[in-house]
Amino acid sequence: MPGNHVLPAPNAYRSIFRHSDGSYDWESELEYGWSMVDSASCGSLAAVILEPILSSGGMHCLPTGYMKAMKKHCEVRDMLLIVDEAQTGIGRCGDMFAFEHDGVVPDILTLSKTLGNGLPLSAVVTSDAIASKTKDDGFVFYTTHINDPLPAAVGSKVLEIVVRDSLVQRSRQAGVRLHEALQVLMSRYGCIGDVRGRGLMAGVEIVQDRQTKKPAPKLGARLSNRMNELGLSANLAAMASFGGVFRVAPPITITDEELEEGLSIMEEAFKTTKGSCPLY
Amino acid sequence: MPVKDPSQKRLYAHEDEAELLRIADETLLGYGTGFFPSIITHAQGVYIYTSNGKRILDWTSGQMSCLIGHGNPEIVKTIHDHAACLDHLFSGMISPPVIRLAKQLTDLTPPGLDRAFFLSTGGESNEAAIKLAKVYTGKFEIVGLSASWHGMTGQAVAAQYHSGRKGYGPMVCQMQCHTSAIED
Repeated sequence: MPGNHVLPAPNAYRSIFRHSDGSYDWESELEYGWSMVDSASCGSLAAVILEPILSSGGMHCLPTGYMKAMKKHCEVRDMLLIVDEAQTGIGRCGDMFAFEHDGVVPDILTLSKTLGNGLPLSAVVTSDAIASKTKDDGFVFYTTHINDPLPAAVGSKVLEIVVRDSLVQRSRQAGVRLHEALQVLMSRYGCIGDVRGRGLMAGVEIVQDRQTKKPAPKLGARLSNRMNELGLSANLAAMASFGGVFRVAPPITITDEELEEGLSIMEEAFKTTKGSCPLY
Repeated sequence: MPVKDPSQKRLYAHEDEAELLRIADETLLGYGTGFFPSIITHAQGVYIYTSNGKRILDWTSGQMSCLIGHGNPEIVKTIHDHAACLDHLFSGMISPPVIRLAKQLTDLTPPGLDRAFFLSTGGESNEAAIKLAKVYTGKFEIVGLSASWHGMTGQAVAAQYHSGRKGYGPMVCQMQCHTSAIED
């Protein structure tokens, strides 16, 4: 479609771009993707938009160096980099903003979900230079609920609490335990093909077997139903395109006990669901 | 104003789940997902509760949003106070919480992320960000990743490749018209 271009999303688990040692070659993938975009472009490339962790797409973290490389690709083409931190922003991944982990400052940052703690609140953040030029050029986004006091007061309180209670560090610390436990779970059940994520944000990919990496949506649904029965909601199997990857993103105020409760329910679900391929 | 411990309050304590599910089946419009089999009547901390009293650990923070838990007492008080005293204004008027949030947020971001405005949803913020980029660069082509999710509004979904593109004809690509300042 004119005006909209797509680059292959980095997927370290499934990408066909590999170094000779089998490791993921995201650099070649990105270069190849850009060669396609440059071919298709009509010469009006304005911006790249990306999530630091592609959550809905399966909880894929951008590889180390990827966002920096993307920023360079933007600069070469006089494009802006928009980073969408709907899910990753405000401490979820163990940094206040996930872009800090990548060592890149985006030209435009968007925040939403976590900023309002469940109330509809989002933010667009940019530089003085972009603000000034777009003001002169007549940028308009005048809408009914812009800068509404009530949700803004909630966002302000969320930031106050996250900073005051050191919840970014808490998310990082609890995330270490979460990922460690999920790795143990993967060592016990062959249907877990991959575990990924950062901080209190994790993805657990369910497969038929680890050699073929074939998706196992029915098994995913059974596991998800079993977790629900046992009192844990960690699924997105309801929408077919999400199928196959459990997404975990609890409140970052979760206590150690609540975290352990969830982990033991997960383990129990794997233990008691047919087809989970126990390895012990 | 003192706020009672929200965990003590329980709305919808005596619902007929079968009846609610029957009415939902007759009246709710679909939006691309099946519904969770139980009706949720209560949410507190990291837990949600079904109409028959079952407790479920909410490991998705609602729709990945309840960062500091459901019914957080300080958030409840903030909502309560502002619903009572400073809820919604003409879009050209600004208020202390908006100015404070902009200051807090841009104190947390590095130089280069200096100014903010606030909208309702993620799709809406991506819509605005893409328009801002188009106006700034004077160009209109937007590049996204193949597993991306950016929201349901026109320019946001046009840059989204995971889902939501099918059946609506061409995606948005045109330049934004430069409109004159809002007068009315």
